[in-house]
Amino acid sequence: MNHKVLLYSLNVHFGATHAVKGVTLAFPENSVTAIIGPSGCGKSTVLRAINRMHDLTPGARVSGSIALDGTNIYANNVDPVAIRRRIGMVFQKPNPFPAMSIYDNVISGYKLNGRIRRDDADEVVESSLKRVALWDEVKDRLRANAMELSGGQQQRLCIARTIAVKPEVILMDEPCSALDPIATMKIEELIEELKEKYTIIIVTHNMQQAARVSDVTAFFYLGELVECGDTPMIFTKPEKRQTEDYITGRFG
Amino acid sequence: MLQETDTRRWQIEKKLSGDFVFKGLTVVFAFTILAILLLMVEEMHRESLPALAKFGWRFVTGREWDAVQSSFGALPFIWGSVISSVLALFLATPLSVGTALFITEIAPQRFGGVVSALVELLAAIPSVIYGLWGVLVMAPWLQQSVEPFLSERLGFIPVFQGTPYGVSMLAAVFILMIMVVPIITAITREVLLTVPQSQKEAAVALGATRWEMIRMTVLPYGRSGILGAVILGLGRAIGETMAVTMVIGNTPQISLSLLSPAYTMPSVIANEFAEASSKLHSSALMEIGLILLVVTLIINILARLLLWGVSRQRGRTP
Ligand SMILES: Nc1ncnc2c1ncn2[C@@H]1O[C@H](COP(=O)(O)OP(=O)(O)O)[C@@H](O)[C@H]1O
Ligand SMILES: [Mg+2]
Repeated sequence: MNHKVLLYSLNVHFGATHAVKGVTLAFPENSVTAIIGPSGCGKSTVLRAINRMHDLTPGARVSGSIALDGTNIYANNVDPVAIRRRIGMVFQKPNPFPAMSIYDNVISGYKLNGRIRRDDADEVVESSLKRVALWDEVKDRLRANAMELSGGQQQRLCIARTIAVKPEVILMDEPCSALDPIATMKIEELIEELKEKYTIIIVTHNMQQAARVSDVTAFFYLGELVECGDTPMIFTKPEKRQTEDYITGRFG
Repeated sequence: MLQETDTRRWQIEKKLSGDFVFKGLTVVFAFTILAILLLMVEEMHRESLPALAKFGWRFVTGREWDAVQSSFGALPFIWGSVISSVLALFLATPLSVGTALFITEIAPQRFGGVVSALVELLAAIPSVIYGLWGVLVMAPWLQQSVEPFLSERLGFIPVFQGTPYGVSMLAAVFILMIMVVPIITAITREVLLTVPQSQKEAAVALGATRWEMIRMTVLPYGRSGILGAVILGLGRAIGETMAVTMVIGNTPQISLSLLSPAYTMPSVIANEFAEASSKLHSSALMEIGLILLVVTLIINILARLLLWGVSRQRGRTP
């Protein structure tokens, strides 16, 4: 399988904290890769390096390289804004724009492309909402405020907003940790469907979830990549002792 | 054993009563302030009764202010106050919001801190200093360069017609703008700081540039707070006395031209109170004061309500 994203000796520092230590890891195209590991092991930090989110954090330093389709996104001539249009992100807590309607939320990122035609926008909104299975629930109140939706609906709205931009990769940082079990199940089904078109990288602290949704699993511990492999292998016959201890619940 | 429990209970009771006294005191203070305010309004109302009885509504529509003829119409002052403040706000708002955005979103953290401290310093300068600078430096500059230019090139617009005096409505607008920018900037900065990081990240992750991020999340999120800051600035501008009195020319007339001298409500009170010889004259000044007080109170309450909404919203939205 083709490698969509490739981390090569990636290091991330926050001031004196060395949060990610020399990680080399490949993410296969059109599949779901789960990043697991105990809290504070650097999962989010790795993920946020992939769409250059650390550019916003004063004091954060990223070294090594990350290749998207073979091009280093940290090269000097690369525009981080263009990268973020190709690599979308869904956050832990649903974060729709509270001042906008459902419709405007979905179209907010797509609109950044420039002036768009009205029917064009309508179509993007409809297809994005259908993709996240939210269309039937909201089609009669597209002009309602996005904050009127439930937490799970808000998260699906945020995913719709992300895919409306037509990215190639979607990063998800514990997208279900603020949701109830039914909403979680819906998002997991959605991930399953989305991987046909997108490369998905999902951080989760929930090992059952990783086992359910991912094709490949990477286990991190204390900022280092311990082990990476096909998900069934990682969960049945891990090579490293630390991985086994973690997935059997002996720590973390 | 028994004794021990007793002392403990005694301590608890003592603490409770200390609390009670403190709470009681604060309530008393709060009500005292409210009572003083109400007394003030009542007192001013009583003092302005003669003018109220004589002129009625004509007081606020009349254009003539003549102490010798005992004819008092306050419209020129109301006009002067409203126009000078509103225009000053009109200029100050983009400047302040821009500065606040620079401090919070664009400048490196430490540099932003320095700018922010400087801005707050500007707010602490006594208004008489602004007035002095205005009358010694700004007004001559306006008279020699800006106003002649405006009346020559744009004189076909009534707003820029007339002789350049220096001391003028335009000077008041500028001085007020300079004085309210620090206040609006400081409050807007506070408002912008309440915009959650998660909102900004949402926009950036969609591929927004910094400016697009500001337009998509920061400004809409801070909308009502910024409005509150602007209205608070309006309250400040309407009440400003010293600096305006020094630069506006103190002429009770209603002129469309910004180049003509004008007069404001606080200025006329400050200028004429000591020399008001007749009962009716001081009563008329009192009535102007009453109008000013009520308007300022309403403006400030409105601004506080908007800003209070912001601090309540904090932590509720994602
Ligand atoms: N913005 C930041 N500033 C300083 N330290 C940070 C920052 N973000 C993360 N860290 C540190 O980096 C380490 C990894 O954090 P994180 O990637 O959030 O862990 P995880 O997502 O696996 O729980 C932690 O020690 C954390 O304290
Ligand atoms: Mg995390």
